[in-house]
Amino acid sequence: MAWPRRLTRRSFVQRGVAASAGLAGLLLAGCGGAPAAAPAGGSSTASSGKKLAGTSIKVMMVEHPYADVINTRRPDFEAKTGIQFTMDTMSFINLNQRADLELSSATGAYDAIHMIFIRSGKWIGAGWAEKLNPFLDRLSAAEKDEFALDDFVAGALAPFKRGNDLYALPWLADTTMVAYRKDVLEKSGLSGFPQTYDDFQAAAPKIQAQGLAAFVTQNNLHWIWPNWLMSYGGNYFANPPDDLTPTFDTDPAHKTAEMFTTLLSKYSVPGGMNLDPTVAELAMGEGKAASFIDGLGNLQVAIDPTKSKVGDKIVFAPTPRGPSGHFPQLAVHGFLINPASKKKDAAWEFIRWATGKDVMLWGALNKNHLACTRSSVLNNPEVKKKFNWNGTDLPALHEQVMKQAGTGYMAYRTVPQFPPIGDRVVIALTSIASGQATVDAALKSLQKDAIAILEKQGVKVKK
Amino acid sequence: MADVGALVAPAVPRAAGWARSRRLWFGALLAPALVVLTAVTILPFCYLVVTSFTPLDLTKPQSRVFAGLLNYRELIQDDRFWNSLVVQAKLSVATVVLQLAIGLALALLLQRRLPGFELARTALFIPMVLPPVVVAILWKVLFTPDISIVYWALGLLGLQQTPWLVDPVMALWAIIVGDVWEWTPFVMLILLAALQMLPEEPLEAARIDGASGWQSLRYIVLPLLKPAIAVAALFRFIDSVKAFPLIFIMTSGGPGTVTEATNYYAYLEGFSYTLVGYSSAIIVVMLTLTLLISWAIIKGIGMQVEVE
Repeated sequence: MAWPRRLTRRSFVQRGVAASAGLAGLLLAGCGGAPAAAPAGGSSTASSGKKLAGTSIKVMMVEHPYADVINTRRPDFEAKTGIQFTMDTMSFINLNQRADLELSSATGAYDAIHMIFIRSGKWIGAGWAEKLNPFLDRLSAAEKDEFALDDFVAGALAPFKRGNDLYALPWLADTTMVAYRKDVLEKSGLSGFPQTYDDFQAAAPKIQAQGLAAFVTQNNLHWIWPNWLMSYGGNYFANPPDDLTPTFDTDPAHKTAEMFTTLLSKYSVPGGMNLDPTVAELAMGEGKAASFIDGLGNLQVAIDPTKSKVGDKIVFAPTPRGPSGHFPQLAVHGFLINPASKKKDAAWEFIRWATGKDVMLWGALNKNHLACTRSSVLNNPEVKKKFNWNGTDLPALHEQVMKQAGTGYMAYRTVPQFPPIGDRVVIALTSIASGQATVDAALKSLQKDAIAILEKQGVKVKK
Repeated sequence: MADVGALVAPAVPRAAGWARSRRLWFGALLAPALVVLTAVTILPFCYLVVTSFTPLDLTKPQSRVFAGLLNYRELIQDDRFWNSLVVQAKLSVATVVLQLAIGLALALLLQRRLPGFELARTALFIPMVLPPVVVAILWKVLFTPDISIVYWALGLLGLQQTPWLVDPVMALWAIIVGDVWEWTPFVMLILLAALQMLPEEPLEAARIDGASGWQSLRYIVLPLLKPAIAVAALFRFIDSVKAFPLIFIMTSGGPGTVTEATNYYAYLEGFSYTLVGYSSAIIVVMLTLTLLISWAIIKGIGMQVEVE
């Protein structure tokens, strides 16, 4: 290539831009598709001795007490399989982004990755989770008995199944229920927590008259509001996952948005519409609120003697019901095998062990991991005894919600398009609770935006 | 003379050859820096622009196709994007103006070298050296009533405050307070350095002519400081567009969308919803606007000193 006699600024810029654009094009083309996934091969370690001994894998997981369980029990796994693992834990927000980037770039840097409930539809649809059936099929009869897939409560497995295909194994099931101050409610003239949302709404001023907030919840409002919405016959979509026409501009949505945002703005602690889970837990544990509606994992903090001043006064109850029934919510998290991993067999051994009966039971008994997913653990006599809190059989309540939610009404949450819709729901609810918009205006705007989001992602909606 | 001509004539090509060699030598010296600059800045920028013309969704690799101005047409109809621009404008104007005003006042005060000057200057730099995430967490705690020492103290005094972070009017001000607290020392540092470099003669002449302190400031100091103010305004404006950690940690863009600035919206589209193509289009627009406004700041305040 001949250089010009004199390299002017203009010619330099022209050549630079041309070269950059060319390289950018190459980059774009080069990133055009994920490398073909390596086929799952090999056989079960347990059935073939320690064939995978010396293998090292990487695991990505949210910061959670169960990560502590896994790390504490690490020597057992390493002795049994000879496999070593490095675990990176991170906050839930970071996990959302890092897992997305990791899976989309298909580098295979992580072999086993935390499967996030509301992203499961998106990830499975994108082929970002390895099908687990071949691994399960290879287990010997004895190994199958030991692993006991049927021991997982059906509602916990459901989000990770597509037909008969399984894409992740669950280790956490968060079920919504109520933790409330029995002493405060008795002073308010209530013998127990109201059994319907209408009754709770009517009781809120009386409870608040005792000098503390009637209610707290965390800021992930798109997870809490459906407790109300579905109980009045509403949903986010017409018939998920088949018909995703948004249904925010409906009577149940109007009624429950008004009820829910009134509780947030008038009967919660200051700033009640945007409480980080830890702040909501603190409000309950410090005795600043009379009731806390959230997932079991967060509610347990309110009775932790090291963090709560009023744990001995707290009682648990099912969430209230509405005219259309009872719809407590369920969020399930698990482990998937990264399709880009080159050590899928070792990753399978890890997730099989980490979600196994032994580890989960040990976690419940030693690290208070009650929000687990196995029926045998929840019905273990020691677990029953440990988690009978002020007369409430918490393991039974947790299992009941998992079974109930397994009937299919949580499908709205695992459609691939849920994350942006869920965020948009939070915007609408906080707009109402902060007085920026009326219920009618906020829900109309939500409906319009939800349709736009869905159409942008190629979903046909009925208008 | 012929001898002289014979001596001079061959010198012309030698001079041209020397100049050419010098240019090549300079080019060779610059090349490594240009290669690095191209790799870390120009290429990613080109990739961003190219991506903005695709409807790329990370979960759909087949969406990496050229779609013309599709994303930009959608942006025009996207109310949330327009809202984010308004939020960004309010945030940038308020933070830059407040930081310049407070920074200038502090710089003038510190220039007097009052007792405790060194200690005050060091203390004032602390916010600036803290990681933005730490600043965001600090202010989040201070603005959360149940765990805030400020709310607790105000409560003791009987001065109940609404929780700013969920108040549609005050939430953006909470972000502004955090940003001003963090970055005012930076403005002060620039202006203090400029003040200490000012020539003594004009101020001396003004004093002899009987100018008051205010008149000296208004007609001598401020005009002389204009280039430094322009630089500080420029830096702070560009940084205000990047006030991401404060928004992410303190309000997540809420309540509603009152604190959802453009970069936060782009982040949501790209990282939470995996719509990288659309997110890239937002960033390209944001970058273009930033360049235009930066140019306007330079032209508006000016880098030239004019003293009447």
